[in-house]
Amino acid sequence: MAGDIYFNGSKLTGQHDVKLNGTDMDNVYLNGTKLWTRHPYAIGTEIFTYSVGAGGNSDNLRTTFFQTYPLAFDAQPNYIEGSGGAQDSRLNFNLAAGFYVSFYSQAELGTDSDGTGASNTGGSHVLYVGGTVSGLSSGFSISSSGNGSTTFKVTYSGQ
Amino acid sequence: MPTAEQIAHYYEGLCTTVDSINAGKTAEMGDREWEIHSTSNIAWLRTIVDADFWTDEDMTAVHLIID
Repeated sequence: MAGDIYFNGSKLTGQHDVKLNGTDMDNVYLNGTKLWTRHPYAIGTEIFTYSVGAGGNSDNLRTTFFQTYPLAFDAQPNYIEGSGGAQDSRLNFNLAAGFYVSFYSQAELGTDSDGTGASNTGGSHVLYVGGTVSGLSSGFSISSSGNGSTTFKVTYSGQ
Repeated sequence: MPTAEQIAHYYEGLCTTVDSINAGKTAEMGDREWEIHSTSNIAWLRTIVDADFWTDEDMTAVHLIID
């Protein structure tokens, strides 16, 4: 993953920590082997916040959000049940390494904002939208289906 | 590790989930919605009950559902 290079004992964590003659470098090679690639975002950047209500349509996560933030996803989100706007749709998405769900809030069940139980890099999740309930799985300290809306944030960890 | 306040918050969500399952399908829910809602929440209960941050919370109601 990007950023795994140290200079004088300090890990390079910024987007453009490496310069040559004052010019930002995107990659560093040694004898033809890539040692380092710049981070696409500063570590800790909130990439996007997504919300959907019970009875709502989550298809824009599969389309607009995937197109706007392609680096955050391993692949385009896909339905494992139903389709956009259909009741009881379940949309699977896999986050790319370095990206994770840093916040998950379900209207009835509460909020997981400390990442408890969830990986801080990558992760496979399913967004469920029913007629009266919604939720996100898995790996959170808040359950995956409850009354009302669901909101989650994706953040760049760089790991 | 979560703080005591966060653990209490998570336990409240857990109890809400247990209550929801025990209450059964609401009049507004379709059969498929209830099936997904209940099975996904029961699956979550099976994993969260073993989380390492719990202290002395009463999990009796959870075990009545998952065991």
